[in-house]
Amino acid sequence: MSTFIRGPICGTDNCPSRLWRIIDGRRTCQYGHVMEGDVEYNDDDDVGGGAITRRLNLTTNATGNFQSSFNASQMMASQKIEKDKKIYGYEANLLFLKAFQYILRRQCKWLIQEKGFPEYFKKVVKIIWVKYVLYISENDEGNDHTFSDDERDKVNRYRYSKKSRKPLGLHMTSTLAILYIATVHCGLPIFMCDYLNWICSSNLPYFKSSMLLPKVWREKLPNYYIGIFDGGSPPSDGKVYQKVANLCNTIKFSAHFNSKFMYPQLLLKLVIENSLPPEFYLITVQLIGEIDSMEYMVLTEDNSKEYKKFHQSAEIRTISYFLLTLRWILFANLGEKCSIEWINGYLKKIEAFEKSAVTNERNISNIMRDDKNRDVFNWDSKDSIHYLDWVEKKFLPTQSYPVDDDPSLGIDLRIARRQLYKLLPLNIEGTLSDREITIPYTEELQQKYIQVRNNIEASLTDDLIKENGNSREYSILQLEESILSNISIDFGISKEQLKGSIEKVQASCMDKFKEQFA
Amino acid sequence: MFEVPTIDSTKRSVVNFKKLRYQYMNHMYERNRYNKNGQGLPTPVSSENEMNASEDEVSHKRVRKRWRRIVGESVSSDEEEEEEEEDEQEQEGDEEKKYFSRYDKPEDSFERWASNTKHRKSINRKMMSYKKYNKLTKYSRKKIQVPLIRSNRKLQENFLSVIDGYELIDDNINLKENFTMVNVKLLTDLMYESIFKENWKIAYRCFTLLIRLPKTSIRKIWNLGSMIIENLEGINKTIEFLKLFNNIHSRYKKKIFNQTVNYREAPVFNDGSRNKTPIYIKTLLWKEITTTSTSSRTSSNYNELIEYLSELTLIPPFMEDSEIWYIYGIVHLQRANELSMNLEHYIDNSSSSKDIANNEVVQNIKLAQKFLKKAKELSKIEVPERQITLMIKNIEGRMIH
Repeated sequence: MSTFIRGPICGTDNCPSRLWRIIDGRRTCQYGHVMEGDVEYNDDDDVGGGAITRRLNLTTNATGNFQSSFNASQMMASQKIEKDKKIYGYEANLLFLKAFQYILRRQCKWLIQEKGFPEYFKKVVKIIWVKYVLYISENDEGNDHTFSDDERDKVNRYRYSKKSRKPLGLHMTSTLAILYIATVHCGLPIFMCDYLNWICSSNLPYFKSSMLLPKVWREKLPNYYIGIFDGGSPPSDGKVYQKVANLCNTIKFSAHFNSKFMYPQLLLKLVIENSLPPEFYLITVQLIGEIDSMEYMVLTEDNSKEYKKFHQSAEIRTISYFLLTLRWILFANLGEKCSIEWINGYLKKIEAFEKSAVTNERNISNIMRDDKNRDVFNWDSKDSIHYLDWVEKKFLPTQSYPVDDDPSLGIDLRIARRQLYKLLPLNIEGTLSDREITIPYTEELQQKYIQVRNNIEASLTDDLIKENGNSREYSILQLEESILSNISIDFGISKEQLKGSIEKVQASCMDKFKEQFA
Repeated sequence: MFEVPTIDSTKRSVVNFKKLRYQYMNHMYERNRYNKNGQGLPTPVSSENEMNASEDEVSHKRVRKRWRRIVGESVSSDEEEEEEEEDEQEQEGDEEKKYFSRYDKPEDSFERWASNTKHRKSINRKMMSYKKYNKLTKYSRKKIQVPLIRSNRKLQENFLSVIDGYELIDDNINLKENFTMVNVKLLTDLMYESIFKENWKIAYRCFTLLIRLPKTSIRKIWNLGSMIIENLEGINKTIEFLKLFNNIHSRYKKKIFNQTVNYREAPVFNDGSRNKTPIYIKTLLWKEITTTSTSSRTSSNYNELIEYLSELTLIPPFMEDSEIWYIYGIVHLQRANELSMNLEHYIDNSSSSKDIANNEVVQNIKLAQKFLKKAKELSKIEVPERQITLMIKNIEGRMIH
C-alpha cells in the first residue's frame, strides 16, 4: 500500500507534498496530513464477498486536483443548488395561478366574515375566476386539445421553451376587478371606493399578500411573481376602471352575468357623505332616468390598453351626473337652498366631534392615497397616535413574520432579534392611546348634518363673510372643486380624468335636451 | 423628507449608466494626458479644505524635488509619470474606481479622518479652450461607441443627451411610491418630527415599529434610537441597548477597511475598521465612562470596561484608533483614582496587604500612562496633559507609606 500517487499540493501547514497514499481508507500525504473531505467508498460487502471489488480510479485534472475528490467548495456549491428551489417557466405560471386563486379566496373569506357578504358571493367570484382561467388556457398557443392530460403537460412544457407565450395579464388590481364585478352581479351596494378603503387600511388582503401564501409556494415562486403579490402603490388614475373594463371584455361579462349597475345606491352614498339635502339625490336620479337610457348604466366592455373612456364606466358616469346636477342646481339659484350663505356653510370644514370607526379607517387610507395628507408636521398628537396604532395593529402584521417563523433569518439573527425586541417592546407604559370611544356611523352622519346647519346659521349672522365674501359663482365653483377632489381620491381616479368625464356627460345631456326641445 | 433607514438596492440601469459615464470621463482623461502640457482634466471638485491641502502638497513636492536635485538624485518627471501609468493599468476593469483613483475618495469627505496626504492629487485649475474640449469629446464619443451599442436604447438616448449637456428628469419622479415605502417614510418623518418637538413617547413608538419592519436597517437609526431611549428611560437603559447592539454587530468591529470601495455613506456609522472605530462603540464607551464616574457604581464596572477595551486593542487585528487607546488610558486612570480613595481602609492592616493595594494603584497609573502615550503616537490627539499629571499627583499623594 505504500505506492504514492501524484496529486494536488497538500498545503496543510505549508506542506509541500504532492504525493499521496491511502492509509485506512483515508488519503494521506507524504508527511502524514489527511486530506480533508475525502471519502473512499467501500461497498465490497454489499456485493457479497465476490471477487469484484470497486476502487476509486484516481485521475488528476488540469489543475492537478483529484477529479473524484470532493473538496470543500464543491460541497458548498451542491448545498447552494439545493437551497434554490425556485421554479420557472410553465410550472411557475401554474403555481402563480394557484397562488392568485388562493389570495382571491382569502379576500372572499374576509369579505364574508367581516363585512357580512352573502355566502354565494364566493361562488360568483369563483365562476368569474374560472372564466378568466379558461380564457387564459384557450388563448394559449401551446395548448392542444388533441392530447390527453398527461401528454399535454409534456407537450406544454416542451412548447413553452420554444414559444414566447402571452403574459397572463394578472395584477393585484385584477383581484379588485374580479371582486368588483362580482358585487355588481350580486347587486350589493359596495363600490370601488369601499374596496380601495379596505385595501389601503390593510384590512382586505392586498398589499404584500405574498406573506399569506404557504411557505412552500413562496419558496418556489420566482421573484417577479412575488413582486406582483406585493401590490405596489395604491391604485390611482383610474387604473382599476380600466382593469374592470378589460376583464368584462375578456370574460364577456354582460353575456353571462347581471351587469346592471346600481346607481341609486351610489348616489345616496355620495349625497349622504357630503351631508347634502335629499333633493340632490332625487333630482340626480330623475336626471339619469330622463337622459340616460338604461343601457348605459351597465358595466361596459373594453379591451384597449390605454383606457380613456371613463365616462362609459358606470360608476364614474354616475359620479359625473351627481357633480353635474350639483353645479346646475346651484347655478339655477332655486330658492333658499342655493343662497350664498348656504354655500358658504358647506365650504367650512364639516367634521363630527366624535368619529366612527369607518371614518377613522378612511382617514388612514386617505393618508396612503394622497401625499398631501402625509405632511407629519401638520399632524396633532392624536393623529400621530392614531396612525401609530394602525401601523402596530394592522400594518406591521402584514409586513413581517413573527421572529420565530421568519425564514430569512438564521438562528443567530433570530436570537439577536428576539433579544432586541424584548429590550425594546412596542409599548411601554403611557404610550398606549386612550381607549377611544367610537360612535356608530349613522350617528356621525347626523352630527355632520347638524354641523352643516350650524355653519349655515353662523354664516347668516356673520357680517364679515357677507362683506368680504366672494361672488356666488366663485363659491359654487369652490364647493364643486372641494367635493370633486374628495371624490377623486376616494375613487382612485385623477381630477383631470373626472373633469373630462363630466364634460363628456354634459355634452351628451345637451344633445338630448336639444333633441327634446327641437 | 428625511433619510429613510432602508438598505437600498441599486438598479441595474443606474449601475450601467454610471459605468458608461465613468468610462467616458476616463477616455477623455486619457486623451488629455498625452497632450503637450496636459495634466489631466480640470478638477470639478473644489472644497476649500482640499484646496489648501493641495497647495501645501504642491509646494511640498517642489521642495522635495529640489532637495533630490541637490543630493544628486535627479529624477526626471517622466519616470514618475510612468509609475503612475502602471498603477492605473493594474486597475483596469472598474471604471468608477479608475476615475476616483485620480481624485479624492468619497469616504475622505465623510469625516475629517487622518488620510494620507501623499495620496492626494492637486487640483487642476487650468482653463480649457472650447476647441480643445470639442476635440476631447469627439475622441471619447468614438471610444464609447462600442459599449453604447451593447446597451439598451433608453440608456443610449439618456447618455447621449447627458453628454450634450441636457439635464434628465428623473424617471422615478412620476412613479407612485410603494405602499410599504410610504409607511416607512411616514414613520421616519414622524420620528424626526417628534424628536424636534421632544415628544419622546411617540418617537419611541416610531423607532420600535421601524426596527420591526423587514426592509429597514437598525444600523442606520441606532443613534436616534439611543437618544430617544435616553430621554425616555434614562441612561442605564441606553447603555443596555448599546451593549446589545454592539454584541449583535460585533463582526463589523474590526474589519479591514477596503480603500478601493467607494462607500456611499459614511462607514463609521454603519461599520468600522481597525483605525476607524464605529461610532456606536465610541458612544457606548463614553457613556459608560461618564456614568461610572458620576454615579456610585461599583468597581466591577471598571473591570468590565477594561476587559472590553482590552478585547478591542489586544486581540488581533489590533485597534489602531487613537481615541480607543485614549479611552483605555482614561479608564485606567479612573480606576487608579478609585482604588486610591479606598486606600485609607488599609492603614491599619498588615504591611503586605498595604503593599498589594499600593501596587495595584501604581500598576494602573503606569498602564494609563502607557496607553495615553500610545494614543499620542498613533495620531495627533490632544491630551489634557496638565490635568492628567495633576490627577496622577493627587493619586500619588493619597498613597500610604
